[in-house]
Amino acid sequence: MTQLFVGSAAMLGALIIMGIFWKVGTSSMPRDDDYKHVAEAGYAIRRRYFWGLLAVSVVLFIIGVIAFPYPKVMEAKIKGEPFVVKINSKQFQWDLSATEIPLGPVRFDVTSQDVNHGFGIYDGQGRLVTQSQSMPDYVNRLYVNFAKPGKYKIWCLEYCGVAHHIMTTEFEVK
Amino acid sequence: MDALYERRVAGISLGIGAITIVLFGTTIFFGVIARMSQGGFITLRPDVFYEFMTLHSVGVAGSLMTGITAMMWYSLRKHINLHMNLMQIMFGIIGAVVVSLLAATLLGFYGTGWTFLYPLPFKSAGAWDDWAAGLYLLLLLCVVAAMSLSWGDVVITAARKYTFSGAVGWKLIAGKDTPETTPPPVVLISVITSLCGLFSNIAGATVLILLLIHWADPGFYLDYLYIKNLIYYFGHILMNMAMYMAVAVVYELLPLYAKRPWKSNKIVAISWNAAFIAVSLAYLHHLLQDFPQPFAIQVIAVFGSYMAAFPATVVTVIGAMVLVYRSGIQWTVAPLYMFLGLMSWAIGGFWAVLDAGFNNAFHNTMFVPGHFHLYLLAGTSFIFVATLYNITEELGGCKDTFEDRLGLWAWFIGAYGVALTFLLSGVLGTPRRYAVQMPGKETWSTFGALFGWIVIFALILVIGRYLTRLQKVKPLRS
Ligand code: HEM
Ligand SMILES: [Cu+2]
Repeated sequence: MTQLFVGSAAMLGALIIMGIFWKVGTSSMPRDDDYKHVAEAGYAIRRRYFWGLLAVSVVLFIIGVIAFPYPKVMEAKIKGEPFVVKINSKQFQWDLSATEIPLGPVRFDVTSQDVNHGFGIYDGQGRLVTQSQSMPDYVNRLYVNFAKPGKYKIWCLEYCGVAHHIMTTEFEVK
Repeated sequence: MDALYERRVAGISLGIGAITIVLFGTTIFFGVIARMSQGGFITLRPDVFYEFMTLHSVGVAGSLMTGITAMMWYSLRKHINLHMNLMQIMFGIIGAVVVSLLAATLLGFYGTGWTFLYPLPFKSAGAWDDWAAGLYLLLLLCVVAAMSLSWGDVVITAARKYTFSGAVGWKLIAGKDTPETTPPPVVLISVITSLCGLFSNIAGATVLILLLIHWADPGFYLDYLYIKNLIYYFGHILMNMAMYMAVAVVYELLPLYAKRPWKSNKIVAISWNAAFIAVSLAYLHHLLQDFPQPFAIQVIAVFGSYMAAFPATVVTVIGAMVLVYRSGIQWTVAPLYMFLGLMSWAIGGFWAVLDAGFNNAFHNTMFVPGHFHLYLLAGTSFIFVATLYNITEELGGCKDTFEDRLGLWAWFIGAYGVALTFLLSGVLGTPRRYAVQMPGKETWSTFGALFGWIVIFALILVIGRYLTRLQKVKPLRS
């Protein structure tokens, strides 16, 4: 969902920026020797652009912060006791305290025994659901609210060495 | 400034330009090979893939960084007299670095990617040798030293001429400016960029020395999160500085083609001081998936990333547009590279902000190489090449040919293809840095590799034309 939405925004934004550059680049002729006049018109546009950018940024900023799966944010959002799964990673495998997980809120306690890994959860269609880092000495608490039963895969999302790309396993949500 | 100094700087810049653009092209080749392997055209052994990926990224970024530093010096030549021997020392160091990089990767199979996240360099699961890790860290330390020399020189020399508070624009902001203390934009931006780079180098030197101690004595304990912060502060800023140096160049050169002045004023000064703060905060977005980082810091990380968009677009991009609008500018190859370079910077920057704002969905997916390949491959490098065109035009009276334009547009199409194919596969959740792509997600890599070859074709043209144009430049001692 987020991916598709932001991906479309990325494409749309790129097209708009290209359009503006095209418009300005092709409006270089004929020369207007009264630069002061051109500059003033430009600055008027700049002021409007500034406020527009500010408005868009504030909205995106707020949406983004609310959508963070941070423990602080998620603890406020999730109702009821989450099911806890301990995740331990090492080059190049995942160790899960449970591979059958109930529907509803789940808390993954993610850590690593050696280097940095990335704990990425993918759904049955190969879409990235959520992720967190998996780091030695620290525990990342990642909350997920599973609404759909089925098989999920874990893929490593932090480069950890030669077999990084095959560091994967799966679990089932029932 | 005396004419002899100016010619010598131009000469050195042309020489550095020739060396770095060839290195740049060669190391891009390794990127294309890596992409071919991801796309299934060839099969690289995983350790070789990661070795190529590391060689590619450090080589390309390093050569571009060196090249653009020379172009910055060139653009500063009319305003401040930098130390010629420091330049030569710096390039000597970089030369030694290149040789050891080749040794560490090709002989030592070193492959952590450029990020060298602790403790990966020391825990390779048998893929690379211990000496290669030590050598790699040592050579990065040399890069830090070399960059510090040149950045320090810029700051000190400019402060001598304009006073320090003048050179960084504080006098302009406070309204206490005089003509003697007001630097032209190229100086202002170079000084602020250099300061930012010096701070990041302090972090870089600290972390590299700590890691080298750990390398010598594995019992030496380091905190993982602390080291990660230092590494990203260093790496993020270093890569951003390459772009900012390029932008400084545009402030100096684009007005020559538009035949209009681009002057320092209060707004420009405020915007570059804001850029300094934004970049210094934005590095934190690399740690957004590290939940032990304090929550407030995470919010600041996203805030800083949005903030970075303001000075860049409101002042620089719009400033450039006002400069060229109805200016009668002739879109020869040099200004066109610059203009398109700014465009790629704007688009790549926009994508970067989205990545920071919705990081959980994109962190370490191909979205990341998507955004930075755009502004490195079609932004910073465009401005680097634009400067080479400008110098040969100025000193050799060279005119554009069909090959010059073909090179530009082929590069443009190839670069956008390379970046977009990364980005779109990131939107589908494809992880980055996979020697073999996740099953079912190879399609975009296949197209990416094809676009990569278009870039190679363009580079051969551009390098060939540059070397031809160089021969027209009059002997420097005349
Ligand atoms: C034809 C042009 C290029 C191609 C085909 C290419 C290809 C690649 C590939 C396949 C990767 C690994 C992606 C992954 O799975 O994470 C990569 C990474 C990278 N590239 Fe390029 N590249 C090109 C140009 C450039 C340029 C011009 C620069 C910089 C100036 C650059 C800098 C990097 C960096 C910094 C990385 C990250 C390496 C890491 O993850 O540690 N590339 N590139
Ligand atoms: Cu991994």
